[in-house]
Amino acid sequence: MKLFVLFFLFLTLFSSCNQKSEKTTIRIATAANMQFAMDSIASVFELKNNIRCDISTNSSGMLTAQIEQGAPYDVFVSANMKYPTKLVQSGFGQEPVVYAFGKLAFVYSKQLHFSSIKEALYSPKIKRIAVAEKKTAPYGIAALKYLDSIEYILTHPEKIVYGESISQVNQYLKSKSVDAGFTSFSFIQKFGDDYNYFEVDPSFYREIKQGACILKHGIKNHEEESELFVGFLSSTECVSILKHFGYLVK
Amino acid sequence: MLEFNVHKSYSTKNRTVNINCSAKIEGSFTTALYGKSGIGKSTVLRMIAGLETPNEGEISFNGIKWFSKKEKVNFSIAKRKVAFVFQDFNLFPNMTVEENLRYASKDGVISPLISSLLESVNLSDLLLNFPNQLSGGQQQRIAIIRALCQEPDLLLLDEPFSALDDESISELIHEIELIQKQIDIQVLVVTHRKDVVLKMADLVICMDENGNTTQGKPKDLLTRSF
Amino acid sequence: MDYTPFFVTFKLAFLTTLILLVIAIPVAYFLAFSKMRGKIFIESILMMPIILPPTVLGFYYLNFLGPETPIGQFFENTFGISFAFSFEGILIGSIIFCTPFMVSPLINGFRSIPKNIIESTLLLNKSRLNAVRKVYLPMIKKSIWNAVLLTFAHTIGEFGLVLMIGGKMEETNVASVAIYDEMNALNYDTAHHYAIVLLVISFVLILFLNYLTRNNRTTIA
Repeated sequence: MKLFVLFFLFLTLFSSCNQKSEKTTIRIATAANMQFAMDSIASVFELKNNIRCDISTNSSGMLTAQIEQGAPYDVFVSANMKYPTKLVQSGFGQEPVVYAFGKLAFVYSKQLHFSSIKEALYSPKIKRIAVAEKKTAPYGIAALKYLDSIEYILTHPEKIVYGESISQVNQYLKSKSVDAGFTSFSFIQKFGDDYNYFEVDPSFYREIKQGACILKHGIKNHEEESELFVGFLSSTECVSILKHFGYLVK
Repeated sequence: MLEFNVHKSYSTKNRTVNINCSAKIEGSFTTALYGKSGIGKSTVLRMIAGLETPNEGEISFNGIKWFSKKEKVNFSIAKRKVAFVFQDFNLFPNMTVEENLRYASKDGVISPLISSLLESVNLSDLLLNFPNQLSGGQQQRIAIIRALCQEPDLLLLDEPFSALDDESISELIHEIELIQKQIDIQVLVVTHRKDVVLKMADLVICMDENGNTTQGKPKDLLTRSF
Repeated sequence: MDYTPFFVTFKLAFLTTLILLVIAIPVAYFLAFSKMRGKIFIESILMMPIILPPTVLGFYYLNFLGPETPIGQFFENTFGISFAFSFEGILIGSIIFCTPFMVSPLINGFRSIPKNIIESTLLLNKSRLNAVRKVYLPMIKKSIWNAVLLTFAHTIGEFGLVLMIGGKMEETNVASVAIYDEMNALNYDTAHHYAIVLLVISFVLILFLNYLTRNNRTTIA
């Protein structure tokens, strides 16, 4: 017993030695579709301002729920405007800014060739199509709106596989568990070489306005840093990163 | 002198047990509490020790009232100073024989008396063994000696032989006699075996199904009924 | 590869086990021996986390103890402790979640002590505390080890609850959540590394647990 206690005491001590240096850290709740772009954005921001970014990725809906339960995030980088607006109403966030417009892509295996999305959707070679859950994921809502407009869900409900967030859709695509999927353009930017894709005509869905806002916790604890970060989102450096990852910036 | 007149009744799932027992034991010798199994002998012994409380009655030892329903007297186990040995699982399995004895002794010191008792029953060599390394008979002997560490006035044995074979029983009876020769202590033993009563007891208290108790010399009582 | 998630995991598992052991021994003793009425309700409530999905637990946890609730705010303002989205938060959560795995083997251990042994300590005029320390706990050593390992192993395997009440902060980023995140970020190599390490550790723990339960040659007769 004593041995056991000693062993883990050692482990615990070890782990408390592992604390990071005393740079200011801001916590950024990041929508799943933004995680690839956010890695680059955060590292440039860190270099420029000497402020660490602790990034938590989840679906925008789950992050909103956690923020309303009091999760101590400073900034929320959402995949739409609905959730930041909701946080403003409940008093957890400041007025959001639109930092980008998301583009929806239809991605499928490199081995297959189609001339349009519709051809792909109705092809027997495509058996499973991943879409993000519409309750919490903005890209899911957009994808389903498109599919609804061509009455696809009514006729082919068996082909649709729902992912918890856009990251899960990406995972399905990456692991080849599905033949095709609706995801954000940033996926193509990162893994485009292995896939064919179409851009979904934005007229079918309302443009995905992606909003970011400073949260109550940020105003209280890291006001200056949080404002700096949200400001950085519209800087030329950041805009070029966002464009690189397939986002529209107006 | 041990004198008691106790009554207790309780219900189990399929029957109600009514226990009545009264006796007056004088002098310092071995008494057996004898009767069929299930008649409540052990419960009587446990009431004397203070492990259970009678519904009605009185218990007194050497003129001191240990229990009286009427007078609302009920001595704690500690105050009664009795030694009690069960039929099994007496010794603490996590301790060696020596540790068991030390744990039972005042200030953790084994008294010279206990050491000499150990020697007289040839158990001094087993001090460093754990209980599960001893035979059933050895375990019971250690249990009796451990019970004596508290310097009790009365030794209560509850079916101490039931886990043992005949040979070990006679050996153990012999050793109890040896112990009694060294320390003057009154013994009350519960048993359902007639041969055990005849072998070790000077006095027998017989309990029957009707709640009657008869008291007398073992030879007179037990040989007559057959 | 960043090993911080493992440190967080082991810190969590170690502290959960230690704190729970201290709390669970008196609780298990009470539940094993008390003749109180309604004891069965207390026991049932403590056993609930076995069947409840972590999401249910997490949901109620946040609704009762979260930083936005009156209780949460009271503790935040008076003691500076936050019950959710912090290390203390996932610690308390995992203590609640693991209670049955600690308490249940201990109750069984206490109940396995023969009545004669218990009465022997009474007849030797030992106080309860003394009897527990000197006799009962050493006797149920195997049950204690069982409970400790089970709790420890279970904390390592915790996922849903930590995900919900931890909020993926750096200090609450345990290995199981880190694996999930790395998978979501499509960093399969890192996820694979984390998973392998966790797999090996879990296997060793379970092996040890099985060895303990099979090996009966301890000092218990």
